Amino acid sequence: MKNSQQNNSQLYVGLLSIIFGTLLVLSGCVGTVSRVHKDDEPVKDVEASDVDMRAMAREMATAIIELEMIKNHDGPVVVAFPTINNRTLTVDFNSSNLQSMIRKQLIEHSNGKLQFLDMELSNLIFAERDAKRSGQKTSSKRADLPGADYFLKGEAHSSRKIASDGQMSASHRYFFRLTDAETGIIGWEKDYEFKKYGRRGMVYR
Amino acid sequence: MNSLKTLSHIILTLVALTLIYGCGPHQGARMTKPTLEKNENLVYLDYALTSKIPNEVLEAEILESGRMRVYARFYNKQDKTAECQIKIKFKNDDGRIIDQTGWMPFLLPRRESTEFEHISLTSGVKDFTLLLRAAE
Repeated sequence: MKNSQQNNSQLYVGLLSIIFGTLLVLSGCVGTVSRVHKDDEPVKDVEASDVDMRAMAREMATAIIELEMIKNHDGPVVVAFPTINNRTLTVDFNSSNLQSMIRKQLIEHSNGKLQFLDMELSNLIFAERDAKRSGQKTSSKRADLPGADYFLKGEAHSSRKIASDGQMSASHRYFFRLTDAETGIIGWEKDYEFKKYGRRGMVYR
Repeated sequence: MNSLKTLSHIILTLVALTLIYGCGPHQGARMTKPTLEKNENLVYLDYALTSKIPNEVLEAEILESGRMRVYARFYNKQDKTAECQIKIKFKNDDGRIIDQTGWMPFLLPRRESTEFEHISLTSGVKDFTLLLRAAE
């Protein structure tokens, strides 16, 4: 009798242990990473965030697409968009990402009115053309290289001050201009400015 | 002994029920009344903002290019800068969203009116919804 009672209690303890152990393992499998919306900022600091970049890209694109000099231009407007100068004193700033955001929106929504030269691939393109023209490679078509009608040039600036409590104040200013590639006249310029106060960014730790 | 047996039976039953009702497809719940976004041009996602940051002006015009320009003006009644976010969804004739921004920072200095203006990237816009929320 005593043995059977002992066996039963051992069985129940074992059963409860299995259940508890399973729950423990399952909770471990859930993990600690969750997907957040791209406009959410779970980590905040005084540096320009991807939310700022997206808002800025949108603002620049909407301003350019409605410019009279673009709308009134005869035919497509060819734009050269070189690297955005980084004067933010941080390595976090991703020039090509911001360039791509602006360019993508303009190409997508301008119905072919705005065309961009791929400046990153310039050397490769020249080499490819030379190879085709010298007979080293075949080509299905030949075309002239279009010249740029405008240069779209951007610069990113930041300045920082450290407060007595160790927190930081950072001012950011990004500006873009469209310059006539033939005359050198700046036809349009716009800036995007903001300031943040709080925890300093990773690059300052 | 009996209570231990009963307890283990209860736990096993609960686990079984969780597995049965947790798995498998479920019929979705349909909206019985339209959301604010469907009918209103301006939606405050945070109720507190309706009294703290009332809307003064809300206008829209279709440009020659077929794009829409939306202009809004808000007044910050508070004694401190309001850190908000603003988003705009542009819709076509059918009410479908054909262009939208992400949540953009929108700062309103204390006791001041602040303007917001935005043009759609897409043409063919017939309607819009402007959303305002407090920054997290």
